[in-house]
Amino acid sequence: MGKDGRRVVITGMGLVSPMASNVEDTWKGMLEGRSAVDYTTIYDASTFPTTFSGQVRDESVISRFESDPELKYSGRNLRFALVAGQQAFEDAGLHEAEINKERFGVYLGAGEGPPDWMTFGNLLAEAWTGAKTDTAAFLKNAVTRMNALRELFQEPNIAAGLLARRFSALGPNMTCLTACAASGQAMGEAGHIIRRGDADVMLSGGAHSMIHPYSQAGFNLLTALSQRNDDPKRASRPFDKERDGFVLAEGSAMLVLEELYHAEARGVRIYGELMGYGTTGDAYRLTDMHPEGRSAKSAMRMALEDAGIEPKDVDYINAHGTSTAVNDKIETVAIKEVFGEHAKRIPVSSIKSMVGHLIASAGAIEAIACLLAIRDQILPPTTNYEHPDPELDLDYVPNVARKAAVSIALSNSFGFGGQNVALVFGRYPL
Amino acid sequence: MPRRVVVTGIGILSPLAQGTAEHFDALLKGACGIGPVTAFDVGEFPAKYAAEIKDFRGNKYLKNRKALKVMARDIQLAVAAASLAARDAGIYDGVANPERLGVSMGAGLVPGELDELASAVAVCLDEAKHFSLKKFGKEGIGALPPLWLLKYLPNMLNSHVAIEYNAQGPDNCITVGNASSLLAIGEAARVIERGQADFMMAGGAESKVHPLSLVRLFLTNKLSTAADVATRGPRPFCRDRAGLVAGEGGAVLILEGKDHAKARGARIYAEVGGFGSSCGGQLQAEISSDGRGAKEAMTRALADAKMEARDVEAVFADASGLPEDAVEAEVIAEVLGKGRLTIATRAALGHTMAGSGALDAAAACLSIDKGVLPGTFGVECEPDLPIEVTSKSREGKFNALLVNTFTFGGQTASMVFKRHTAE
Repeated sequence: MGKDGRRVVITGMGLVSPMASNVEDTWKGMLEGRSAVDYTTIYDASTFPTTFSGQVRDESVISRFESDPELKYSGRNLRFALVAGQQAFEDAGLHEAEINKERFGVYLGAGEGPPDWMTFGNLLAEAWTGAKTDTAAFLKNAVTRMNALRELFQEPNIAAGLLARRFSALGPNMTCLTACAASGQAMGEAGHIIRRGDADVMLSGGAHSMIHPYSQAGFNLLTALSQRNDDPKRASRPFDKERDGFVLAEGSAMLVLEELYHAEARGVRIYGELMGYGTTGDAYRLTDMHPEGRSAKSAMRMALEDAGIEPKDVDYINAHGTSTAVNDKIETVAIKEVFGEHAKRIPVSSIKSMVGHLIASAGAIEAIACLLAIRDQILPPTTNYEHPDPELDLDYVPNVARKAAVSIALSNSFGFGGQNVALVFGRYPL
Repeated sequence: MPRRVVVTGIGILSPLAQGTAEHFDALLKGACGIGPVTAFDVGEFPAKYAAEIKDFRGNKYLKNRKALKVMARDIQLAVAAASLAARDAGIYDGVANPERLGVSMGAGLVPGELDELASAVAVCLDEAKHFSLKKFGKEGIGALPPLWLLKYLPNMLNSHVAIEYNAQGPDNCITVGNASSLLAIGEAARVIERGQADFMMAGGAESKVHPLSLVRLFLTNKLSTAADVATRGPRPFCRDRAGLVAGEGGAVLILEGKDHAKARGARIYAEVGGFGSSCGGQLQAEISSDGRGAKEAMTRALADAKMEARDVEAVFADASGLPEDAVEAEVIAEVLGKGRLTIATRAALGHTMAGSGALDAAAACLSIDKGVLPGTFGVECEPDLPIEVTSKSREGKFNALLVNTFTFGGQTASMVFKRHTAE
């Protein structure tokens, strides 16, 4: 709770996911245990070590901006953000004519936009002398062949700027990019902005697409991606013994965070409360989590403390659960230590098994899953869970959605590079 | 009452100097860091000048020198600035509880080293000599270094700083173009204010002296192509302003809870007064033509600091030599009153983008601490300007200074730093 007891609730949600371009159909798919993963068609990935991804398949999300003189140069990430942001705004019953613009802000965990990879690749190839890049040749050719807007739209702050422009939001406006923790972090910080009294309404969440040849190459080089090319739908298998890496996905998840009394005065539906937020740094290694998950644990503890609750109060944990060997093992260790005797009892699931890893958007789509689990009293499953790993012995809600009494859910987001975030959501009223 | 936040350490790397005191001295003396681009051959490219950091050696600043090869220049600059700041604040092992020491960095869109990718794509051409993704997927990837991606992720500024200083506390990376590092400092102050850390290493760095960055700036018509920027600078606020000059550099501040700093007898440069952010809604320009987002951020920072317009003695402006400088001048006059003394350090440092806000925040704290404000290189006040701009430094007892950073994309950030008092 913030200054003068200000509390933060969620009153609107919007989503463009690999499963569907809205919240309810994505949720329905998750409860059915469907996989949204398939072969990548954005570019020819057939020769890459990984040939599939959690790609947004609804082309209407992309094509609807083709006639806009500016936005036709925008990347997929920005188009996802504009669609999901609009959905969230409308879902919250907000109207531009009524909203207090100075008290309405935007805080996203948003990624860089996909590069103009063919143009850039050709420019580099032509400028390569065999020993180094002829920078003079690169500069000369690039200024005639690169597009100003296409380049500008790659900046990570553009999504939050475009959304502020769309809704004339003059409140605090920020973007963070702490890798896979980004949108969880954005929501936590946006919550603090409301609690402190600096805004009444914040549009928060994430937007990202790293499904392009260079990012994919980078992740493949790190051997972080699943290479189950013969069976993409079963590739993302968090906590399963045969997991072999995460599935790169894309999308945007947006939530309207609102000060409790402001929401009640508007008489709007409340999905739940953002009760707590924890943020820590691993300070260990660039590529590995600390073996005991020290800052994963401290992030969860900070979030519980911030929410003013005990481990026993948590009914559901939405795991970071990436399907990599290391994350799933250490996340399990960390949960067991933080939740102690309650760990075995609390169901833990990862929706990444179905939609893949939306990177900067992951925390926000998982927040939506937590809030809908609270609304519908049902837990989304961890699919593709076939071979129990003896070291990983929590209740992972295997393969089938489960009815459950859920009042409080905790969601983890652990960033590549060591930024760790945990959020606590609660039913409102509890 | 919320916890108060002070600045107890400063680390600066700029085109003027690698070191805090040296940088501020040079700024006071009216030095200019702009010269011909030496980092690479620009050939016939119309913009031939930049503000470079010469002879930068990252290994001078790092405990873990092996890590250097996985750091883009932006990251190396940030880690170096953090090292100077940590030393300045006396944060040695054991001084800070690791869980109460956090990191908040502002980062740009970190560009890759061209040679690395070029050498890989060059072996992936089809018969028509065009880049082939089919070949890249098969042969190109293996030609790249294994940790290639890590070199360019913006949150790696944080990761490397956190590892160097065992900072396990709150950890956030702000990526808001030119406003990144000032927003990162503002956000870090909030973390201490709400009690979640005792120390935050906050700031940011960026190098725009990179072929891809120069192209991007040139394409938006911002980059100066004037022949005299090396001698006269980009001349922010002037009628004959010359356009933006690409720069590189950054700064890290050690923010600390005031109670904590007093208890350990730390030297205090200044106190964080207030912070505000907003968005003007424009896309390409650094500030919207109506100045609304800028005005909102300044107003919020003042209100947050519980100050009146007259309390602020001078402004570190965002102005960098672009047409929108005039809008900022109008907004400063409107919010703080006509004739307010204004300093534009980008006149001497070029535009360090994600590093710029931290560099100005550092300069504001040093100005308050030393009792002297730098001037604006190459600029004399023009009669019809609603603010005061001068090339000369000015001595005085300064109680409150405001820092602005605005960015393409629309975001605006303002912070007030104030004189630290004993109570």
